[in-house]
Amino acid sequence: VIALLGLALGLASCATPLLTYRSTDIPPVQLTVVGQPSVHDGRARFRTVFCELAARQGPPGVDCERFLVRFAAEPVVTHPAPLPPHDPRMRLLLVPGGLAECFEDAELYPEAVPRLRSLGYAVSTVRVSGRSSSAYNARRIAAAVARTPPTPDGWLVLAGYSKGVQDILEFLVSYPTLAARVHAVVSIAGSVNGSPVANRYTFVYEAFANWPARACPPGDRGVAVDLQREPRLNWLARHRLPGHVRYFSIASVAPEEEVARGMTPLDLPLSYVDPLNDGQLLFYDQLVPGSELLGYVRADHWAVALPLQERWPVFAGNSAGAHFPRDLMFEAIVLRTAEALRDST
Amino acid sequence: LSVAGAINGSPLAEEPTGLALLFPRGEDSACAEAQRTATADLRRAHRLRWLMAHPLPEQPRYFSLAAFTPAEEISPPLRPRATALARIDPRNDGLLPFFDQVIPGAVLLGYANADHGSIVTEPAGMNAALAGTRSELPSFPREVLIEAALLHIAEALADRGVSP
Repeated sequence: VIALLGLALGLASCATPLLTYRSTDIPPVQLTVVGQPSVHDGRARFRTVFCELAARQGPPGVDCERFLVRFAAEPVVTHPAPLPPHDPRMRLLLVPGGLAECFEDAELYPEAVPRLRSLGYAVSTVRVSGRSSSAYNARRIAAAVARTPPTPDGWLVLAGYSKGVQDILEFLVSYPTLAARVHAVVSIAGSVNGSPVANRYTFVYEAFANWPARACPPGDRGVAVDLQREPRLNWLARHRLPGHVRYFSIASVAPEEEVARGMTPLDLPLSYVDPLNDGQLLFYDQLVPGSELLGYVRADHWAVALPLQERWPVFAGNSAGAHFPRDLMFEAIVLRTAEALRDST
Repeated sequence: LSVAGAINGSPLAEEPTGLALLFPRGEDSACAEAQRTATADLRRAHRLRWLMAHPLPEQPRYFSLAAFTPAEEISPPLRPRATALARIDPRNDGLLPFFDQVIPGAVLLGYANADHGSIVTEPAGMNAALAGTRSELPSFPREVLIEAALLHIAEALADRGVSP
């Protein structure tokens, strides 16, 4: 396996990419299955919310313009509305990504979650199987939603990270009665269309798929195959997402030198496909059909949601020494989601 | 009707790697200089910015016919380009990935199992830089394909009551 991996990496690194554009050269693009609704542009409002929040409570010197990447044709707001208030009527269920169960350190938003709880929000994390398919995890999410008290005066919001997003989408379609309780879904670096990286490296995962690991039960072992492009796009072609749910998408992109060292083997072949990626996903694969595009953050696929850079500084650190204020971003997402839900009711 | 349309441009129109594949012999053909000027207009970023800035009028109906074919059925001159594109997506026609060939809002007629040249023309009539020899190319019923597309369009317009 190691020899095959080495060979794959060698082949991946010897090709010169065709595409070399930068984010400012290109407008937001969605790769979508024919017939699915298109994404609408909410970048301007989210930039206002994020930058205002960063100015109020971010660490000194936080440059929101740096962290929120500008793509071409971003609308400009001349008289922005003020920062919306917090609304703890919103209940949040977080859904982690693939393999998160296997690593104790892969904790979603360890600073933002306690802060939101202190503000009155009910926030909990669904324990999905790290090594299983989305169909398998949809059942776990259904159980978590069923256990969640109804929210007669508020909103139930599912926030997924990476593969957690496709788990949520499968839940919505497979359990329509429970899905009726959900008001909104937030996708954070969601593997909505899968990833070419999964197509390339599933064989590595398969080679280790039967290895026992106490902290990492095998489940149905479907995680890698289910992250491939074809299963995801075929799933999207067969299913229509429920219309009563509001969808929000935030994507991540990082320059090569700001991608974690541990992700470099994945980043090389991905950068050939498109230079705008986060080390695991392409920018145009991260948008839920019919969602509001909140924006693109300058972070690699881990830094956007997980504290790995602090906990594994060598493996998850990057050569540029860049850090991303993920907890600030998550709070901005919560504020914008609450604002949108209030406006729609 | 868009046939293998470069709607989102082509990754092969980018400097320097793509253009080196498009023009492997440099400036030696009579058309090469003009073609290089055209490639600026075929860059993906340029095309996508144009599409964002110019929503298409609703009045004409749009139809898209795209193309891709397996690597072994790509005509020889297009093969190095198809190989380079295959690292982006194996479903390409030797010049365009399949997902870059559809007009926004169009009726998708389908994907022809053909490469970028053979979907529309006899190889002998093609630019020498793009064509292969006829015997090397898979035969493709392009006349039937275009007639079927036109029949479909006529039917669609008649259903809407559009008179000539």
